Amino acid sequence: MMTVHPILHVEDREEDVFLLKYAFSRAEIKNPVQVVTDGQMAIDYLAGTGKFADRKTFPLPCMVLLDLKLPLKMGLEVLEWIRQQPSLKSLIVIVLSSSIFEGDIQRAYQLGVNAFLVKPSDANAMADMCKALKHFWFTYNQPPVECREFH
Amino acid sequence: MGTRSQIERSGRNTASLGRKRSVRPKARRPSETGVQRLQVLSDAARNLLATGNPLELLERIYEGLSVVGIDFYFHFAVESRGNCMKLRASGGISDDEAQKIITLEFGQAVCGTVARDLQAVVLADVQRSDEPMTQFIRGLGIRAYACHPLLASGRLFGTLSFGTRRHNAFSPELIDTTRALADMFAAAIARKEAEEALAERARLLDQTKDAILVRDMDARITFWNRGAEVLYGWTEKETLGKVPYELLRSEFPEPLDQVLAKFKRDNFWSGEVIQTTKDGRRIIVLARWTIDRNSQGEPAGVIQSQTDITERKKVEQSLDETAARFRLVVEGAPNGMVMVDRRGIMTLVNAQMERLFGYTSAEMIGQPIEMLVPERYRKSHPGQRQSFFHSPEVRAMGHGRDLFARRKDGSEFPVEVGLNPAETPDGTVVLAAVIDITQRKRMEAELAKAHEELAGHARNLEATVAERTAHLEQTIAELEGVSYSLSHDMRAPLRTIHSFAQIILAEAGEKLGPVESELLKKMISAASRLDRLIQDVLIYSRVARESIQLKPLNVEQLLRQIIHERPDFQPPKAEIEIQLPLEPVHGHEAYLTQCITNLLDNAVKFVRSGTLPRIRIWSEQVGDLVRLWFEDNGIGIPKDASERVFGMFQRVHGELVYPGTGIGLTIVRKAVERMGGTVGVESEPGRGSRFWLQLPRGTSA
Repeated sequence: MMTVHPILHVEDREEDVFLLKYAFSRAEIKNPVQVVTDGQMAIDYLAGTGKFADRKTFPLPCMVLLDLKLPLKMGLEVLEWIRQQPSLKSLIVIVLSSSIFEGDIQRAYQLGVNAFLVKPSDANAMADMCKALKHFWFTYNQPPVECREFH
Repeated sequence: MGTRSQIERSGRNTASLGRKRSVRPKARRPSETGVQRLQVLSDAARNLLATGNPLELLERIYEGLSVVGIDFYFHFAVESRGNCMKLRASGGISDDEAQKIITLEFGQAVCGTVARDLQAVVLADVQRSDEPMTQFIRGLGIRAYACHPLLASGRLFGTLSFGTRRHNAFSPELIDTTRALADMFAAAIARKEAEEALAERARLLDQTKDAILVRDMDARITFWNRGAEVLYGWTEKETLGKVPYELLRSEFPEPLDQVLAKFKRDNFWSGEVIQTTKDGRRIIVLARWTIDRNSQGEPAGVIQSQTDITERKKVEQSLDETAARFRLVVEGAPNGMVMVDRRGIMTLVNAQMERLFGYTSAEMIGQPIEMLVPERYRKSHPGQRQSFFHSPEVRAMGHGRDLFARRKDGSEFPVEVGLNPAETPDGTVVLAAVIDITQRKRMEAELAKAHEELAGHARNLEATVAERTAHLEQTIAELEGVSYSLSHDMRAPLRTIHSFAQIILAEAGEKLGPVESELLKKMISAASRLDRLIQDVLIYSRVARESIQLKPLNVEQLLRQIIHERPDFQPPKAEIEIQLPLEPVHGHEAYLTQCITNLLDNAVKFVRSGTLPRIRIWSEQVGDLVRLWFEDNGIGIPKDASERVFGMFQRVHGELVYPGTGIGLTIVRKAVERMGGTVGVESEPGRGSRFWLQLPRGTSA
């Protein structure tokens, strides 16, 4: 049985969690989605500490979809932390922001983000974006070794 | 030796004459003939006295005297060392005999006795005398003898004696005659000696470089030496008998009558006289007049000695002028000037020094310079002074240290001192210029204070600016916070409304009635319009705030890219004609893209329904600026609204027909302004609009 790596969705807004799941189903992305609702939880999950200590229940994700405006720790702080962890250096992190804020974009890339996406306000556009995401990252892209197990 | 040969010759002649005359027949009547002959002789002698040689005269006398029985004569002359005489002339004796009496001491023989006693000795019957002094003449066979002292001007010149073998005694007349002859001879010798002395004096005078002349009591020139000939150009011959100050056109330092009066009083006068030479040159001489007296001590004339001091006067004058100029410069100098010699003694001070220090110049001159130095520097000053004299150079004193000087009252003041070494005949001196810099120091202090105050103001200003900037930055940060919230927090619920309405419509469409579906659609449309509005406001605030770099832009390339990316700018939806060439502009690519996009958006949007948007774009050069024109076939803008269209949220047309946020043109205007340009529109309702953007011309695209 091959391990299916989950996608870690860091998002505090319940509606946006729903919209992403809806868009994922429209785009037929079958990876399990693990949701954490603040920045600190994201770090805890990735570090495997606290309630995320069990890697069987909470396996390491192959991709992080990261909102920027988050409680406790902001998205860019989470990103910075990820890139400081030797084991997480090649983890695919995609920012999923509500706005185009020039400063955020620059900073995110400087910290080593893989892509910066803006959440469309249109559900159809959101579905289109997720399809594109799937095609690019799951079909055409050659992911790092530990992220091969997509289907 | 001349004297000796004279003696020899006389001796020979005398001997021969004596023999001849002794046989003459008329010898018996000596008295009468003698008196006559004496008369003739004395006449001849008188003539000879004027010019002749006294010794020659003596021989003539002897020649004449032989007829009256004179066989011998002897003339002794007093030697210069005194108390001794030498035989100068003789007659009637041989050379060998003469040799025996060549020198006579005073008191020796008859002649020596006469010389010693200054009294004539007349002897008769000499052959019978046993006196020792007659020993010599007895040996010659002399029987009568008369010896006279030669006295003239109170001086003894020697003796003149006569002797005879023929008579035992001289007649009283003959004795008188011989005395008269001796006196005459003495006068002639004295005269000759005086002449010789005078000639010697004249020779000496001629040797001096000074011009010497003698004028008599009538002011007529009687003597004119070689120096005078050289100095004035006239020969002695030309000047004798002339009045010297007329001839020389003398200009005396005071009127001539006063000069003469002074000379009469003092028998001496000296002064500088300007005279004119034969060739017309004016010379300055130092004249000295002394009285010339005759042997009786009476004024006989004036001896004038003149030294040419023309050159010396010139040098003196130029030296005087130089010194005067120097003094004038020193005195007139705006600074204190003090001259100090090698010992540190002040030798010259000007009036400014008196004013600066409160001492009179008399109090300073002759004193050490240290009296002007504050006490605490006095010890070290002489050493510094000496090291300056050791290697003198023009420089400022103190090597940049602050210098102070001390006034008479003990107060001090800051000074600047310039040192100028100078070589003088008395050695190296230093001329120091002393400048009171109290005023300057005060001004410097005031300036420094002013600077300090200014700096204080600047600091305050900076603080104020910093405070306000901080305030502003805070405001901007808050605004950015608002923008962030706008974009993030406001758009999130909007996205929920929008997306959920879409999902409901998609998932439960068939369960809803047509009215409900329509409401959901309107809800979706309203949400998306609100989202665009938010985005436009964000764009506007970014355009207004961001700092941007301008660069040359290729407008044509930019335009083609915009059209290429937007299908609604392409046929069949629209026709855009670009009129080439398009001038490059200086601007910001993203901003210009935003502007052009917004203008084209409007152009394709604001057309009458069913009309194909046609847009023509061209550029126009306006001086250093480029104007880009966008002409459309749209509905146009009312004239009074042409400015209003650029205002925020200003809408000219109904929202339903021409949807929009009312921010598009506001963004255009702000972006163009940020690029240093202007924007405008020419339009008439129903006849389309011509929007223009004016930007600086790009140097190269």
